[in-house]
Amino acid sequence: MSHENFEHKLLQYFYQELSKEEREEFDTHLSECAVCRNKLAGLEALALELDSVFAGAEPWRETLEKIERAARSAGIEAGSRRAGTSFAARPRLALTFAAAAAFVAALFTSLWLVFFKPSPTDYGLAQVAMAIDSLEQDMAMVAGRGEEAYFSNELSQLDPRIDDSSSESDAGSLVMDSLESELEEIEGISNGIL
Amino acid sequence: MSALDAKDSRKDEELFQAWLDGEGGSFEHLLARYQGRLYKVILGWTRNPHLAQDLFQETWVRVIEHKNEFDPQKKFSSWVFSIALNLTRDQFRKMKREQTEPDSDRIEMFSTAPDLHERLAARERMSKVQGALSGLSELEREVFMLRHFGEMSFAEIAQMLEINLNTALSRMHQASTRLKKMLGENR
Repeated sequence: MSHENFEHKLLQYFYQELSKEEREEFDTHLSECAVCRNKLAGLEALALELDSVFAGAEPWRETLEKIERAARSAGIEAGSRRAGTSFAARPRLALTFAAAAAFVAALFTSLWLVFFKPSPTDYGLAQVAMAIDSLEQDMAMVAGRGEEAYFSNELSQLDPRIDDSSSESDAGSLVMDSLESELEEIEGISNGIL
Repeated sequence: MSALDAKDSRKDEELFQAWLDGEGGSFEHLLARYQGRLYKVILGWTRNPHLAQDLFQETWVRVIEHKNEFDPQKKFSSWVFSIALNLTRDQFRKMKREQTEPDSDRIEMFSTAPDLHERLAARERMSKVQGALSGLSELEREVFMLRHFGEMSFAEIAQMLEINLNTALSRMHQASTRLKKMLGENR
């Protein structure tokens, strides 16, 4: 066995990492080797000195309490997820969640009422805007129908069998009626706002 | 072994799993098992009690935050000490960048002895040990503290530090020899 191996064996012997057979073998060596016995005594003295100096070294109580608190809250979360713990099994947790949900709902409702609920004027203007949009769509449709009537007329000149002018004129009057009623509606809303 | 720990004979890994499953008190048992070992190891690495407190707390915060990353096939001790080691190395790198050193004057007395002379003697001994530990290389200090106070086997230390077993044993031998010499000179 090399010198280095003896040093390593000595460390493993001291920290009780040798197998039973290896330990017995090293015991025999120690009984015959004063150098190794001295080295072992040196290791024991060093360990004693260090253990004595570090004996009172402990983390602070408040540090441990902080860690324990963090672990408790994380443990509840982990436990309920992993073990599938139901709220029925944790009534306090269920109450906490219910209270939190109620609080959040009340908070959002209050915020909506304060900041987002449209005033009567906003509401009326929104209706006017919608009515104007509808009017624009109808006007676009009238314009479209006019183009169609023009092309229909052109085609009828090329082919007398094509003649939709009567139906186009019926549709036009219907659209005009619709436009008139929408204008009346806008006027009504505007009067209401003012 | 603390009184709390004496009540539970389960392995560390089983206690950790029990905590994950929501069993009350299991984490406290685990913490009681490690608080002395881990704190002393970090204190030996940093030689600064305030820094050691911070790193000790941060280590457990990481354990809690990364609880689902623990591989139950591996040893809990290796995981915890690895986290502590990485945090300590990061801290030293940061201090090196900022060109600061662990404040050697900030030694707190560990001794709770009521006698003033005893407390002063303890402080003096601590100062000598601190000086001796500072004389070791980083790797020597890491191996020595993990083996002596962390109670990790040389094989586990070798695996954790990604070195071979003979290197771990050689560093331990060098550290022990140097500590004996430095503390012997100061006696």
